[in-house]
Amino acid sequence: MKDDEQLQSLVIDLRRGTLVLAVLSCLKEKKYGYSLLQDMEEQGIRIEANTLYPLLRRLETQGLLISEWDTGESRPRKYYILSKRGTKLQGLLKEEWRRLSQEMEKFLEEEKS
Amino acid sequence: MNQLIERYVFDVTRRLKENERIEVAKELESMISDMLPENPSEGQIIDVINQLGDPRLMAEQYRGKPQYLISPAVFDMYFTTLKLVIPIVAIVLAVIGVISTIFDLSIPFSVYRLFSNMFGLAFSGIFQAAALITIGFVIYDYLELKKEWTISNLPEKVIKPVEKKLGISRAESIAGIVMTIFFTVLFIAMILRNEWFFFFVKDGHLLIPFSEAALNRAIPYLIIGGILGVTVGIFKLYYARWTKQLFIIDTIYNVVWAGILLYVVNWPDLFNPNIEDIVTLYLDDTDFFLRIIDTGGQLIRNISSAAVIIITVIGIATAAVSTYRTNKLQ
Repeated sequence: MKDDEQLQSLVIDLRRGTLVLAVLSCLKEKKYGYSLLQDMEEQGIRIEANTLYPLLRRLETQGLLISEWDTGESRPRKYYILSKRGTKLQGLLKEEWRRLSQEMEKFLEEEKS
Repeated sequence: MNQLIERYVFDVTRRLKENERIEVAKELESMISDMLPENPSEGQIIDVINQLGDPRLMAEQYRGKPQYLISPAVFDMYFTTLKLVIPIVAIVLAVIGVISTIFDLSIPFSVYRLFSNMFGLAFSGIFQAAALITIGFVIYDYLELKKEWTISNLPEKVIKPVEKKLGISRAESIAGIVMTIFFTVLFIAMILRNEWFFFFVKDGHLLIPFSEAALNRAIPYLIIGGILGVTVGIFKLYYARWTKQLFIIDTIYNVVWAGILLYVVNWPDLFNPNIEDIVTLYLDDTDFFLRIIDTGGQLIRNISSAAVIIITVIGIATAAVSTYRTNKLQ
């Protein structure tokens, strides 16, 4: 039981850093919060609503996302899309991630043998 | 809009900066309505709100970083300081409360007043000390966080942890401080008020073995001794072990006390001129004591002086052994 809990919190720590990359990668086209949540879930990335929405806002203040309210429909929705800087950073972050996961993979392989 | 949603949104946004509140409220409302079907039931709304979870945590996520008055980096030091200072302040003030009640003659003595003064002083002292320490640390933290850490910030002296039996326990040091304050104040108060403590009673006669002039002259020395004693106690709390510095301080204290006692014991007018009467009143076999007094109490002076020197030497030697044992093992 205790091991389970500890594993859970370690997994959360591990995933936390990847979420930003996942969110940025999903926002090449404009999406509103809930549709983004569903898209990510469809692709197997679990993210809680109470994590995603504050994260979107932070990324927007950091200038990586641009937002726009659409009040045309019955429900007003806030749409997000990558800014120019966001696009650039997403590319760099993706490279970093690939390098990191390769290194990790290699490291774990060697450890096994 | 549904009242539950409104209350949830309010509970999150009231924890945010004012300039963010309107925008975040709009976002939250929009996202909650996206998560709900058209015309949702109360149960569905409750489900969604439960999914979003604790408004405090939600607000924290929005703020991005946790807010601290005293950051985790210095919290340990803050807590240690509190643990060190609060008991001393409480006990010292409680003792002062008791003494001041006993010696306040303007109002008749009562147990109720004794306890109310004791706890009143102790509690107000605890809160003031805690408030001052907290404010101090908030300021320290604020100034410290702005500074960049460099190698020169490392502490100059390394204090290695010692085994418990070689350390000086906090209780011991605090007890020392309390006893010093208590007896210093007690003796001075008794001298000033010509209290019964110094009287021998026989057949309804009240006699005092020391001369009044000598006792009054001793007051400044008692004060010096008391202040030194409290200072040494504070150093013991601070070092919490027999370091060389503490040994030096403790030795100076012992020597100063011995010096004061030797000086006072040899005052020519220390004893009451009527001391012969006391002795004759007190004892049936007066020959032996009369011989002592014949020499102006010289034998008493010599015995006291020898006792002072022996006790001082034992005290310093004990401290030296403790210091040696503590430092040898490092």
